[in-house]
Amino acid sequence: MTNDPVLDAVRELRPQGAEGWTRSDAGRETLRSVLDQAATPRATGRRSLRVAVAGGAAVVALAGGGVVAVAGGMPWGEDAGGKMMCARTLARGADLSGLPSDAVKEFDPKDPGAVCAGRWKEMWGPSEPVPTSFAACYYPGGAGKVVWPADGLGQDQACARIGARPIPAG
Amino acid sequence: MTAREGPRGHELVEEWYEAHADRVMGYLMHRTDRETAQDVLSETFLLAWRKQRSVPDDALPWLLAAARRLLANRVRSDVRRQALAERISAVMDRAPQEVFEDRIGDREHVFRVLMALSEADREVLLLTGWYDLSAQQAAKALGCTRAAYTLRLHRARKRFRAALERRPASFTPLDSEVHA
Repeated sequence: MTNDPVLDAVRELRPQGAEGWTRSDAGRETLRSVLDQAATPRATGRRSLRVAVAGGAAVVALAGGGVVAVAGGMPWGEDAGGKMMCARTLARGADLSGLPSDAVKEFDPKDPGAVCAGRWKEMWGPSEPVPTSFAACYYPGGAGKVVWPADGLGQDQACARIGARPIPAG
Repeated sequence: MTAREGPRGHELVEEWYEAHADRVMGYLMHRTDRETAQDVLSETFLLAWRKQRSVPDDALPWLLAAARRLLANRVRSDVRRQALAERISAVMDRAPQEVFEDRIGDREHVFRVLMALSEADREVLLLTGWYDLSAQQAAKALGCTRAAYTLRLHRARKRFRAALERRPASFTPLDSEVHA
């Protein structure tokens, strides 16, 4: 106990740490895994490759999305599922992924987030919790169409948080 | 592969791991499930290996900062908050109540106030109160200057204290014991 009751109050709530974890089997295995990966050339990880491919696709899709928006004058076209991206987090620098090719037909212009939710674990891994709500916003500063986790916010608020314009449904 | 990325680089990573993995893992386990914590820990030390020229001699704040960023990219803030609430609840179930309830309020009240703070306020309080970091280390872990950290901590303490005092009129005012 110190003479600072505010920080004492915080300390009193401290959960158990991970003392001794490093020397546990899981800790040793994790270190081995790190050293193995460190010895492997960088771009061979499936996840890295997937994100790199997704990033490349994002550039194409974001550019293409602009053309559709201007030429079509409608927020979502019939084939928009092939040109939209799903963002992993509600952040300007979030990882982006295109839909798996066989998921494009599942795209519903009235509910653009549904297909991201349905294919979430396939895109981001089985341990990634699926967001409960999504917001469709143009890529900040651009015209590409991206569906972002809404973090419990309404679409306008979610888009505003990342400095983006919302995309109307339909 | 450079000389530092070779065997010596592996030795460095092992040294950092032996010295700091428990604390980084503790930080992560307070905010997510064990499996994700292990994944993020692994990513953190792999990043340290890849960026070892940027890792300072005092590696802990760098590692915590990296783990914090990697976790933020993987786990949404509401999920991190929920995980934190669950970890603290487990402590509250086990630990005796009487330690400070006559000074500040009951543990349940403190818990509710802490969880009602903004994530930024909560983070600076927890980094300071839970992980025994110096001001310099905490600032680096948060990715800000020491002056900015001091200001953030001051404001977070002030808001936390004000919120704590809002309810239990029967408890001793905190100002009477702070000699900051």
